[in-house]
Amino acid sequence: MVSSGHFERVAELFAAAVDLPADQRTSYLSQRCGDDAELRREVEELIVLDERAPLQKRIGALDDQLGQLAVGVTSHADALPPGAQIGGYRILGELGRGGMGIVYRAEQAQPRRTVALKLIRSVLDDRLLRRFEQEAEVLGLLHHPGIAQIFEASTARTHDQSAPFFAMELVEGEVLTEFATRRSLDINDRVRLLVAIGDALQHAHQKGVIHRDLKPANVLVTREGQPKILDFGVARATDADLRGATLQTDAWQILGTLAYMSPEQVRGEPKGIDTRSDVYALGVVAYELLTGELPYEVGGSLPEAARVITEREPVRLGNRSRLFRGDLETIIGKALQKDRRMRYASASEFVADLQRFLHHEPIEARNPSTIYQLEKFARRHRGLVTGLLIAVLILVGAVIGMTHLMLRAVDAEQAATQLAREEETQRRDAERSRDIAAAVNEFLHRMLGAPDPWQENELARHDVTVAAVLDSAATELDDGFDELDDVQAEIRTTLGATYLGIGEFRKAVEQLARAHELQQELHGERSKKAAVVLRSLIEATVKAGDLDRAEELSRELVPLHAEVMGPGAEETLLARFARLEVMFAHNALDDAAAFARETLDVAEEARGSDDELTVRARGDLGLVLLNLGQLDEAEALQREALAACRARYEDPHPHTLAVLNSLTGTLWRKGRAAEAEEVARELVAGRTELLGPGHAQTLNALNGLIVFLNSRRAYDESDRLRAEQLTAARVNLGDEHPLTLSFRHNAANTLWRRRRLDQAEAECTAVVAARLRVLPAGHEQILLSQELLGLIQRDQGRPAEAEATLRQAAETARQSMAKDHWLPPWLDVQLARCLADLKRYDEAKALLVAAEAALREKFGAENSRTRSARRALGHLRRRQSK
Amino acid sequence: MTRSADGPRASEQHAEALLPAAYAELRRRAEDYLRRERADHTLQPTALVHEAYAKLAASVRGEFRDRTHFVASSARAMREILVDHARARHAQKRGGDATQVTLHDAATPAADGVDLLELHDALARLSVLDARKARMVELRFFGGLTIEEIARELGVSHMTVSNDWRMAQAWLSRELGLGK
Repeated sequence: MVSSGHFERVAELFAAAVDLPADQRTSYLSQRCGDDAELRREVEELIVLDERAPLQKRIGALDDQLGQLAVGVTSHADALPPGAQIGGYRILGELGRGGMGIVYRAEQAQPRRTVALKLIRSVLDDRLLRRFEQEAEVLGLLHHPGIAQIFEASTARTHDQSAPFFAMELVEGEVLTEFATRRSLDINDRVRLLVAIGDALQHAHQKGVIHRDLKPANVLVTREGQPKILDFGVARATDADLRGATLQTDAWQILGTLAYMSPEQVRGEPKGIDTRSDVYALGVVAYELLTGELPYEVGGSLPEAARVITEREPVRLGNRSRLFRGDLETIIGKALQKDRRMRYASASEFVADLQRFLHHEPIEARNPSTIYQLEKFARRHRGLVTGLLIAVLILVGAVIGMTHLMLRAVDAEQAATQLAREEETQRRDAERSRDIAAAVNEFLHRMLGAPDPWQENELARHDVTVAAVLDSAATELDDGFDELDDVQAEIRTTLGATYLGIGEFRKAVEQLARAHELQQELHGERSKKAAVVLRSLIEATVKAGDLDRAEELSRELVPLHAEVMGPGAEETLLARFARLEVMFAHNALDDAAAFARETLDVAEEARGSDDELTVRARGDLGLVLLNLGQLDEAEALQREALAACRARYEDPHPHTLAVLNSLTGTLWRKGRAAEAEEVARELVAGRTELLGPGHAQTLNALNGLIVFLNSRRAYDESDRLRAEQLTAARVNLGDEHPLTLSFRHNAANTLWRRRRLDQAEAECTAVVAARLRVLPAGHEQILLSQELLGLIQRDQGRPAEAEATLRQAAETARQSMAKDHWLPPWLDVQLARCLADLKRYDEAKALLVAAEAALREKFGAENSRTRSARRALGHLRRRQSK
Repeated sequence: MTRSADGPRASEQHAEALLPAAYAELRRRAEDYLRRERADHTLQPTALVHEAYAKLAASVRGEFRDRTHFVASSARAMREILVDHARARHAQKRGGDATQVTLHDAATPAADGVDLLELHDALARLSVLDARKARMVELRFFGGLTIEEIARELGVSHMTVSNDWRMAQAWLSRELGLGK
């Protein structure tokens, strides 16, 4: 450790020498330092750093960092302390915060009562103040049990400024949606709440007051079950002309409010806003109250959110749950029409239909005709829907045909006299089956088998019975269809592709493996048919999480394709993508990068630089480079690929989403968290729309978003998303699917960060055990879970246990990882921290010195892990010196 | 709340008592920051903050001559609040295998930024060697004071601050591994 005497000498020499001309400085220093070369070197180093002034140059960035932190810190700091006096009110405490200001519980002197006081966070000039007071008078006219009464709207003079405020009836209640959830209300109870809210809305509309900001947070329900709408007209009295008040709030808050805004409000048509805008908002509230979700994901940037609201059709209520199919879906759908002329003309009409629903009477609202809807759907999905229906019908038809055939075969045996005729029939039927099967393939492959989840999952989303159809088809095949091997192979391939599309990976592997065997028998191992099925089989195997098997299967895949179909053929490029996927899943990144570059070269050479497959190759290379930490090149490639995708496809498209997926990772790694979050929201929205909310890829995208939200401590949203994600993953993928385990690992990680150590430890222990079962020994993810477990144990005050856990992980890592992999030294850093806790300083120091050197070698001195190792060393030295 | 290795100085004795005041000042900085971030709209520093400042400043022990004195007194508390917050955020970002395939190393700090936690550690080391220089840096960074304001608060000449500042800047740059 440097002594302060030494430091003083350095400082003194620095001060004396720093401003001398270079030649004088040299002679001055050699005179003063004598033969103390170390001292001289140190002073000279500092002088260089004074010239370059790297820290000085970062002051701006540092100020920004501190500013950001201050925003985080103070978002919970108090503004007005209890006892403060505003107008005739004394502040008792804070109730909550909203976009426009803080709401306090306050006591009014005359008449003596407790009120909610909303202090508007804005400074008004005189003209606006008059306007505010005029509006306030109108608000006083509202008297309804469903509306929180406004007692006074006024301004308090504080210092030289006017602070406008509202004094309102203090409603002791729960936010609408929370009330419904906690009391586990059934659908009818929820609809009754909506009726009561609609009644209150109608009362206000009759007095000429529009709410403009209706959302669940603005509706509290009392213990007696009476909903009360808060903040009536507040938006009008303040927001409309005081945009500043809105703009200064957190952008996320705006987005939160935006979700309930009608398209005309979003478009900012001040004259276009009328009572029907409130009808729309009530429709969104109804939708959320019933389903727990918003009609569309409103995320990302404000312009993006605005586009969604003004253009995108809401997810139909019936698609959230079958319970809502029928009248309720029609009623809410009518309230949510983009064109307000198509909505209910008033809140009372909306309420009337809700009441008809409750009384099982025919409703007034009419569904737009089925053909109109089909048209709309088909327009968006380019005729897919018709083809899909036909395909399903034919698949069902083929199954029926097969069954029919087998029954007749049995008949044939029993009716020996008709043998000849039956044989003839059988042959004809067999030919027919073959034709049918070809037709099935042609259709289903086009619909489902293409490397395009967009199409596969139309099926999953729109007809859940498809899974049942597939299962029965598979059973029929298993029960005996062996005479027609080629047809069977085709159908199994189709079934496999379809299972893949609906996320039934293991069943997909089963069917495709059988198909592959059959094709090999029929056409030979090095045939086109066998090659193509093999590729699907590998894709399914990777998705099913069986990486070793996938590796084994995929080694020969590309040479095989190149041999059979030529190196630049579309099929060969697809084989390359499949192989790359396997390498990537195995984390063989250097090999993957070389292979991805080669693939991009092949694609550009064979198909030109704008081809769909070339674009995909570019995106894939970007993803690999991202994982190798080559971020600038990765981003450049991803931006290029994204531009090409956006130009080529309508949003959202699977290829565009794949690029967004890797782009969000790059941005995050580059520290551009806000951009990364924005991209992640687009990704989640896109995948939800294309694949459905429970699809593995949607859940994976959600994972990124959750990480970003956690990083800025937006736990309300991230907790909600995490719970949804874990439930969906367990149901759809299984408790121990590698992806489910990744999500659970992350959940444990978050619990640890938030110091919920017991929960974190329980979850992490389970994840370690499961990963040991399902992943190959020594897999990076096992080690990362063990690292986390060690950190949790250490924080639980059990350094010895932590040491054992981390030591085991470090030893395994050393055995199973490549020689210069970062994990062994990194685990050593964590291990050394435990050793330091155990006062085994010398061991800790030896480990840290070696680990720091290894990390520096691997990542450079500036890398966060290297710095972390250095910091641990610093801490260690200080502890040792005590 | 963590306390750094070096002991609190006289003017920082009331760090705990100053917490509320520090929060008020941090709020001002936050608003400055937000205003810079969103240059597209005009936002007036709110009356509320001034009010809060006046109330809180009066409620803590000691009289403050002016805002500078107030900030200087609460800079240590502000530093600790900010560092704690940064530590929590840093912990959030570090490690874990986030998204299975794309996001397993997330600790990279902003390219041109400074690792605040390292700065905090380095500053603790500096204060052992030269408490005045460390205090100056603290006032500059965590209090947001200018060189003139620092000189006035510490009762030294502008030149002294400026010289100390250069040495501290160079020394910290080296400790933080910057400028290589």
